[in-house]
Amino acid sequence: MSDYLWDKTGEPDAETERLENLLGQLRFQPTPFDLPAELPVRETRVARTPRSVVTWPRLALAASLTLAVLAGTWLMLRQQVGTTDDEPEIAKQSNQTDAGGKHSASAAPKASESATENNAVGEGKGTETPAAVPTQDGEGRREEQVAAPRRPRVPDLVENTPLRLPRAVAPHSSRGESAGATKRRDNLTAPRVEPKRREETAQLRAEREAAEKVLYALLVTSEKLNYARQQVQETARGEDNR
Amino acid sequence: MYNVEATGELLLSGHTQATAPREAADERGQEAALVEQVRAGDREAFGRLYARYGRVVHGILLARVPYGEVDDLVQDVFMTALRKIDTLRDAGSFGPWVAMIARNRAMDFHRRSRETTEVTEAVAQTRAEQREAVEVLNLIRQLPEAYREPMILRFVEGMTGPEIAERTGLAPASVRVNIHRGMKILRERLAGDAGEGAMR
Repeated sequence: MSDYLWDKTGEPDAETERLENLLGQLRFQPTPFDLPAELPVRETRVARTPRSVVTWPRLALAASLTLAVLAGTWLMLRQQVGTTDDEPEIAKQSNQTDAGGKHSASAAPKASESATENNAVGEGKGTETPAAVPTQDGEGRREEQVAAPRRPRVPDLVENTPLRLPRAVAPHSSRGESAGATKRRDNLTAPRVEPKRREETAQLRAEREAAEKVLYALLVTSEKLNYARQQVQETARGEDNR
Repeated sequence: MYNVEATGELLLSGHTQATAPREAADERGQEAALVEQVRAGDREAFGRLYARYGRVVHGILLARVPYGEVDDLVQDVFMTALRKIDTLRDAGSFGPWVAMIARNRAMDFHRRSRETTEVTEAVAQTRAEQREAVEVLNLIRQLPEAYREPMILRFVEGMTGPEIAERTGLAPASVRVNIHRGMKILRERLAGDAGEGAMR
């Protein structure tokens, strides 16, 4: 099947022919092409790397580094917020302990106190006391030893947990401390097990503020990256046009 | 009157399609050799590529930018191609690659200038005998985008359908359908213009 419009075979249609003649006036007239003095040769290709290959990994690296730094800053801020929230509470508890003695302590410090005493009894008998359940009589303690799985004692937790104390409390050293000092320290650490609601609210507020700061920093960084990308693209386009 | 509604028939017919793959492979081989020569610094080889693809680039630009601007842009496109020829991965695909450069250059042109004033100027600057041709060209430029390029390459640059497909990297079946459909719409619009002229 001949199709003049497709491949110029067969009989031409009158209108097609007329259009060809009319529009043929606008056909490309090859003009001498002004070649530059030197053509690019293969060696330059090896030496020169396309801009896109170089620029994007650099930008990606810069972005990931920025994100890592920001994440680190955010974590540090969070830790600091946690510390500053804890310190006043500890100081307050310390004052209460100094003023009121045993009566101001809550149930949890009592428990840890008893556990310390029990531990001392156990050591006196030459047996190990894995459980830190406060009981008054020896029978009850033995039953608990059989039934309950081994749990870490509160004093163990206190010793193993790095605790940042305010200067007023700091002089108590862990080595060679008296029984009173142990009790005071237990009183200090016990409220951390059940934090109060007000403390939580303050901490949450601080965390929210820190998160907002990080988000703002991310936003600024993102804007900067966008600007850098635009600059790179414009430069590349400018070079292409040249 | 043309009846090109049966697209399936158009796609299936066409005896030239059987020999097309072999010819296309030869063309690609020659093209790749020319590109390699240009990369090695052969100026003549680039001149041959220019002669071979000048019409394609001209037609693609003519489908998008005013007639008066096309010649300068053709030079621009080939200069860009020469500068970036090292980035062409498949040396046998110079045609589709340079066609894409031409399309991008036309888009850049529109980003930086206002077409409306330049079209009027271009029409005013053309000679009287070319004026009718430019008017028909403007009618073609008002066709749907897919039809413009093949129509201009076919009627202005005088290329055949298989040539258009091979040089631009478009599918032959698409080129065929687009030429026929574009021609149908152009006839209707030309008839409409003639009717309006008679009324006046």
